[in-house]
Amino acid sequence: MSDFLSQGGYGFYVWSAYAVSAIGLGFLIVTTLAAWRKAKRALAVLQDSETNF
Amino acid sequence: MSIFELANPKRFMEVSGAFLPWIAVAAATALLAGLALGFTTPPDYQQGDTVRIMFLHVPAACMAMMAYGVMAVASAIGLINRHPLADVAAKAAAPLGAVFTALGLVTGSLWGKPMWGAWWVWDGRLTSFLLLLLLYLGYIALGSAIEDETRSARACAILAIVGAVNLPIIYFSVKWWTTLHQGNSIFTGKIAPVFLWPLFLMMGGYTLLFFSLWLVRIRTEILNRRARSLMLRGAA
Repeated sequence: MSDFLSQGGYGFYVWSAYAVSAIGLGFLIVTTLAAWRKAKRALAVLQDSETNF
Repeated sequence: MSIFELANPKRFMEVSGAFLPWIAVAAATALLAGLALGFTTPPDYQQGDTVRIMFLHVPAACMAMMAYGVMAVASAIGLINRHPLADVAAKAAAPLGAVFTALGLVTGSLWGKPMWGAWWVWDGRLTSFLLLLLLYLGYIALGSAIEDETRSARACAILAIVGAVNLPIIYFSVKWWTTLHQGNSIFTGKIAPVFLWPLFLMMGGYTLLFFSLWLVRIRTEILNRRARSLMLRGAA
């Protein structure tokens, strides 16, 4: 286990690269899905009001 | 069905909606398999365990360039055919490309420090790649600075097409100039197959992830534009 964490002495570089990549891709996924949900809600409200009026 | 039918936003929503879940599942599968394989390969005989940074660095850098290529082609189609969906597609790729470029730079730096002894060198490959990030940021800034949809798309398209000159510069930089960055080694048989498998899985995963996110962003903008036209109709 500690061998795995130390990555042959390069643990800092290897794990930093994986952490940064996870944060970057996670940020893209979260913001992209949030914008999609927001757009869907906004359009649903508008279409509702259109049918109501 | 011809591909041009997809240019119709309604048809695009139907077709992309049907394909999206499968692309997303394939992306997740490839990434998980790539990670599992990437951490079970033996260390490289020269680079030790830092070879595992390659599984992130190479896909991020490839996607950074591919996203720009996609953006430039969509921009050209938008400029020539004046089709709004092409403009939407170009703009949707920019933030994705910017993040992939940043990841390519950061993971490269984290790989360079232990292997070259330097976080950064001002050589052809690294400098042209930094320029790619600046092009993305300039494109995003320009797009948000011009309010009129059509004018904004036209200005952005011109920037994207002119900036595409940087793509071959990045690609050939390791041949043209003396550099610390290694040359192309993926399809030349210089990498042992044990490292190629996780690399290809991660490349596939990154590519599929890019396309799923790109499709969602295009779909989002189509909904936003539909909402805007409904509001305009309501106001009239």
